[in-house]
Amino acid sequence: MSESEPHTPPRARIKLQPLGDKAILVVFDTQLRLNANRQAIQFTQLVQEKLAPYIVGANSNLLSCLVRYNPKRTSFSVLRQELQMLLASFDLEKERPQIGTDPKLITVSYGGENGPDFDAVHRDLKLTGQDFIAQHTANVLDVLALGFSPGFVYLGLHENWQHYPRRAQMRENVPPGSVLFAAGQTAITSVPIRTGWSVIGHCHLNNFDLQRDPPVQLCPGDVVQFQSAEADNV
Amino acid sequence: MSKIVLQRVSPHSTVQDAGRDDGLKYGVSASGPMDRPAFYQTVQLLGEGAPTALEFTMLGLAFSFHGEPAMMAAAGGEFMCTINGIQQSWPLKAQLEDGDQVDIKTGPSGMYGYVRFDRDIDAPTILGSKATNLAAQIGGLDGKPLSIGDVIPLVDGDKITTDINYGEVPLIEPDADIVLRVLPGLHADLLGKGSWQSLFQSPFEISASTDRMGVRLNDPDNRFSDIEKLGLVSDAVVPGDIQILGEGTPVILMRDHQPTGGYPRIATLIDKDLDRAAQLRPNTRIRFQSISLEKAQQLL
Repeated sequence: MSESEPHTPPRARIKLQPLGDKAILVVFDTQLRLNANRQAIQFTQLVQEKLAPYIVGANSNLLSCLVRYNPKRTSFSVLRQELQMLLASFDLEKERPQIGTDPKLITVSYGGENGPDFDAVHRDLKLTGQDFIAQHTANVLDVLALGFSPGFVYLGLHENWQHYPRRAQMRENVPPGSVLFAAGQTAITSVPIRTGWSVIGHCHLNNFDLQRDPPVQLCPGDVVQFQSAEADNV
Repeated sequence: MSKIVLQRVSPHSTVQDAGRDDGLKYGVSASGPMDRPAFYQTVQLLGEGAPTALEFTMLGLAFSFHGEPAMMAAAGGEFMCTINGIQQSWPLKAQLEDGDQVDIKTGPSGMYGYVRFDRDIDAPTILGSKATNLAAQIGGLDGKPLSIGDVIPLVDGDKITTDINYGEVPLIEPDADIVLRVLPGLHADLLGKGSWQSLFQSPFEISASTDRMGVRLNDPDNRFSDIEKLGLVSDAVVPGDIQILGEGTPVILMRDHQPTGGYPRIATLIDKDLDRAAQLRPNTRIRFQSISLEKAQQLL
């Protein structure tokens, strides 16, 4: 795909695509890159601030910004023009630093009963369990997106592991707090789900707690650092 | 105060209001009624009604009414309804008295119907809405579908009105096949012109697997069986998206859809046709038809 080659000017990669007749999706890239993800998150914030009268809502995804609108109040062409104007003032050349500054520490119990795929994952990556954990906990990660199911967060990127595949077999009823791994990302579940991602561990984060307002603790753009539960005992 | 006690409940019946527009930022799709015109027709019948209604599915709903008299309206599809054994018209408006017995049974057509009162359903507001999201298990009655024995208090609360006339909703299509209009989906370009055109070459059929999350289609031609693995990055889903599962099964995503997904989406049903699609029973033959965005929006 020529449009995703790195040498293509960034502005040429961006697509404004109608999604049904009540939404426009602003797509920043088709391959997962941190900079495109940060663009999607920060552009979404800009849309929320500047285009509030035109829209029903704006939400970021891994590489895009979903803008929902009511066509009876705002026409597609007016909204598209507003988005294009906003994009024109949005710096697409600069490398965006991590948005959040105060990493939330998340303790993970790797492997065992609650991480049934942990051994397969580190073996596939030709790493010992300890080495995998050391690398997995080494960097401060971005919250790339929130979606798929209530409170479900995508964290990343693990640049070296971008090609790690999903499992051929789906796992049913994966419990809340599960730490999932695939495609250079780690995800955390907050409700039971069915997934093809590898389940490598468990943590105590509940990112969908209706007793809290707001119910989520992690949002796109926040930052996270993992630590191993075993390290506590060392 | 008054209340109803559920005696017979069709699977996947729920409490619904207009929906949870703000849910996406928490990973929750909006939910709301599967057939919005029918949902609002009950408001129109009452003049003004509670913002929250009961949505029941194909096999209907039976309940007893207790307490101070209340007005009730019911609409959606073509169901059969009796009150204390006496046959009613459909859609209907009736005053219920203490001890009345309402029995709604499956009729000639329709998958979803609505019962609304002039008093509100006593359920907590979760993230700005009382709508049940069965996928996320929130809203309505503890995030669960209605079930036999449920006691639902009716309380004083907000009222809503509607200025749209829903009396003209056509129930039976003149065509042998139902026509649903679509716009190109998020991945239509990636999937290629051939896949897009194949959508229109012959009819599909509504399968037996249809619920608030999605309507699976049977494809006698198996036209998407060798669809390319695209390795897509998970992206936003909107109601009406037609996604193609791994083995080639098309699914129309409905009100309780997952907020994001990684399956390719070839087309998106226009908003106007989403409610009609929801009402189609298994084995109904459907054809897709392409429409422009401008025309789709004029129909809203």
